[in-house]
Amino acid sequence: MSEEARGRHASEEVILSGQGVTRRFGGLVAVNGVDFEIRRGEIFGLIGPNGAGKTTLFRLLSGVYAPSAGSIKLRGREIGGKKPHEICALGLVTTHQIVKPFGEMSCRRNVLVGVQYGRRRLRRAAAETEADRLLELTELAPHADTLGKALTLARRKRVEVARALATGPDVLLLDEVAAGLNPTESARIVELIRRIRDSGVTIVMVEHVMKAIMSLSDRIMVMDLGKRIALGTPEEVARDERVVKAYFGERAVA
Amino acid sequence: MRLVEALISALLVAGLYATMSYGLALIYGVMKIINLANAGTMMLGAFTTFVLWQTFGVDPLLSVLIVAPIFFVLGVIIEAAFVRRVAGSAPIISLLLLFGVWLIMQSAASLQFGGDVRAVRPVYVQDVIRVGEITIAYTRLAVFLAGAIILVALELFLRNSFLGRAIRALAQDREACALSGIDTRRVSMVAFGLGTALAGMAGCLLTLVFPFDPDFGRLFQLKSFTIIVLGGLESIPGIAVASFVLALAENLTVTLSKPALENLVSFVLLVVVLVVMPGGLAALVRRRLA
Amino acid sequence: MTAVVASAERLPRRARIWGQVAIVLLIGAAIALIPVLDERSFNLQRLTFFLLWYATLATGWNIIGGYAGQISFGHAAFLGMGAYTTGVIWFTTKTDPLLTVPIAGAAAALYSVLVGAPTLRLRGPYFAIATIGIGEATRLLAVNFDDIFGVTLTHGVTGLSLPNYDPVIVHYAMVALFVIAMLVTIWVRGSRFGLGLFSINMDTDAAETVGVPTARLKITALALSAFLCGAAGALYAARQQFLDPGSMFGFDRSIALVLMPVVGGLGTVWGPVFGAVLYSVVQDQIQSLVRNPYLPTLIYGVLLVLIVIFEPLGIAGLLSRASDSARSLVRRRPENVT
Repeated sequence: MSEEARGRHASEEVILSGQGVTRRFGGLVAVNGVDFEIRRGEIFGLIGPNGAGKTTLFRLLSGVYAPSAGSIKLRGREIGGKKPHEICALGLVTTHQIVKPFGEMSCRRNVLVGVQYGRRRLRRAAAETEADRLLELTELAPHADTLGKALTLARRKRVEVARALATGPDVLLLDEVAAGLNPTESARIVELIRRIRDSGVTIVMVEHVMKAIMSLSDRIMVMDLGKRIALGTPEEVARDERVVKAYFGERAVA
Repeated sequence: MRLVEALISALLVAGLYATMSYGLALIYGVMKIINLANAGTMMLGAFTTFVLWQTFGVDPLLSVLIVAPIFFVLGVIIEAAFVRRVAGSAPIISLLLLFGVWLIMQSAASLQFGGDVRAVRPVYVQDVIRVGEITIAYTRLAVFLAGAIILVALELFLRNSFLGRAIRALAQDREACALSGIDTRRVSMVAFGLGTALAGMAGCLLTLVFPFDPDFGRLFQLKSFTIIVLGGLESIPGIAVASFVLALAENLTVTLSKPALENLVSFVLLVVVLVVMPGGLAALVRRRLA
Repeated sequence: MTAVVASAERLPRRARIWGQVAIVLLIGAAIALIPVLDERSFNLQRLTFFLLWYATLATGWNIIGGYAGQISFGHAAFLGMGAYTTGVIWFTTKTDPLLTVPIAGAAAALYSVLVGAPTLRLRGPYFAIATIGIGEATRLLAVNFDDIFGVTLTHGVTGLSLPNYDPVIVHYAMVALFVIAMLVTIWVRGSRFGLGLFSINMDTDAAETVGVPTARLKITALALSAFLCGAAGALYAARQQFLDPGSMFGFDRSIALVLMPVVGGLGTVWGPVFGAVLYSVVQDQIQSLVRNPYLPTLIYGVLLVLIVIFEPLGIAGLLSRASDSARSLVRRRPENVT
């Protein structure tokens, strides 16, 4: 993606921000005073070693957990502690790391749930048209009548994305959508993420597939042991000493 | 003095409650299914004890040793023949399946034994032990001790044997276990067998304290469930404490209010726990400490 | 749901729904005509009353149990609540029992919200187990109600003997309630509400993240379900003119309410009706065929285990498979011929 394209998408408007976001589990602090500002239209990457707190942060954003301290704002409105379906209605939706399509429903009905519940009410016909459009976008149209449980992993991941998109979000959280996919499938999902961003949706993604996240993200936040240790463009982050240390340990740096 | 007696009596009943509930918790921990047939198993354990006592004069405390292996095998068979077939389906499927197994157990026992209320009454059933002004029924003490020994033996097995450690590991992280080469199917089978054996043994002990009929299971099912919810699944100390709390609450209800309400206690307690402290006592303690 | 959903989705939605409505109206009209055609058909009237009664109860249960996937082992509580509401009002104020059917339904729905609100909030099997407690606690409450509150309303275990009432009028009311229950279940099946319930059934967490207000939908489904069962309970009071805690709140009732939809076809429109037909015919014949009261339960238990393992969609699933293979035979024939 060229600089020009990036400039076109990312605006200066902050759409999602966190201040001192903290989550404790008993004695363990999984997310510790994290600050961030995510701008409308950007792809914001979130990386870090295992146990860094990425998934917990995602769950705080999507409302699965309530923050122990700090505030999370979506378009200036506090969402910390709200229920997932309320946050979804406000325009932030997430996909799951372990994909959860509705197994006994066709792909179309899977997407229809998002259309019917995630946004302002549509008439049945309009909702079905919208669902078909999303199936087209995610290249699932040929499998519209296939049951969720009968799909391959790659397609299940795309159903998950389509169903989330169906809620008409401003911000889409993607939790390891490329994990477990082969290089071809992975490239296709990267392409899909770009298309989604081009349609005006801000994307926040956690990813272990470095190639995917480095090539896609406008900015990346690096977490380690619950704290933010770096934030910047992929190039800046890749050069950051603390990031290298967190990933490869002290000796690699020395 | 009445309070002290109530406490002691509750403690003694708690031994039985813990034994019957731990089987439920063990199976839930490993397989993430609620064994709705648990109370049916207890009932069968009680009737097996009844038959052994009536025909061969076997003492209920002794029949624990006979019932345990038989019911372990019964559990293994139920797991292999039925439960395994629905592994991976929605939770309601296993729930309905075990509900069916429960109905079969209950009606089979009714066909065999009729609907009468039975009791096992060995010679020592009236004996009491006096400590100062407090009297303790001998049977209750014996049942408590037997329950405690069973649970301690189980804990030792879970901590020290390979299979026991595999069961505990499976309860914590099924996927990791499958990856590290533990035969999850075999471990599930053993866990179900153990859970069934525990319910069977609880059934044996129960004959000394409560009268029983083929239909008595519902209430005990509810009690067990209240206990594991209150105690936090998969924790022996939590279950022991929860058993005591339930037994005490029931005891106090009988003493201070109407006996008819005794059986409402477990439901009320269950609702209170679900509303006020999801996660049970353990979560409450953790929150205090944090 | 697999096969049924798949085969049902072949037809356009509107045609499918109107087809089902037409069938319901036909069944209702046929059964309503029985007392008109033959005034003295008492046995047939009794059989068809209970057939529709069981079908209504099973359909009501299916809305929370089959659609939303929240199994209730204590639905007799709502049935009994409705029956006793009408019974007590009728007994104390002499109000026509059919007038209080909506009140009975509302009382059951209110009660279900009261006991469902804390238990439905939680995931997994909590609700199912708690319902055993709901059923048991409600039965105990019904038995001891007068004793606890120092009044004379339920008459405890002796039961509540009610005035006489024309069974033919109750017969028509039952037909009406059955038709209403079926229209409700058909509507829910195809509606946005139903889609939400199915998504909860499949995966509550996933449903919640894409905007389904899971807690609210579950409570609504439970209340709707309890309303239908409570209303059916009221008609039982009017028809039998005697209520006792054992037959209204008993665990056997709750078991029957689980069995019928599961055996018939969980989460399908017609499954509960199939299950109810089977159950009411078996119940009607069983006393004359077998003397042993425990045998039916044994058979039901075995049936439940077999169905869950081999055909989770019950009779509806079997029929759907049969029609699929019939259709494929028909379809294949021209190819074979040419």
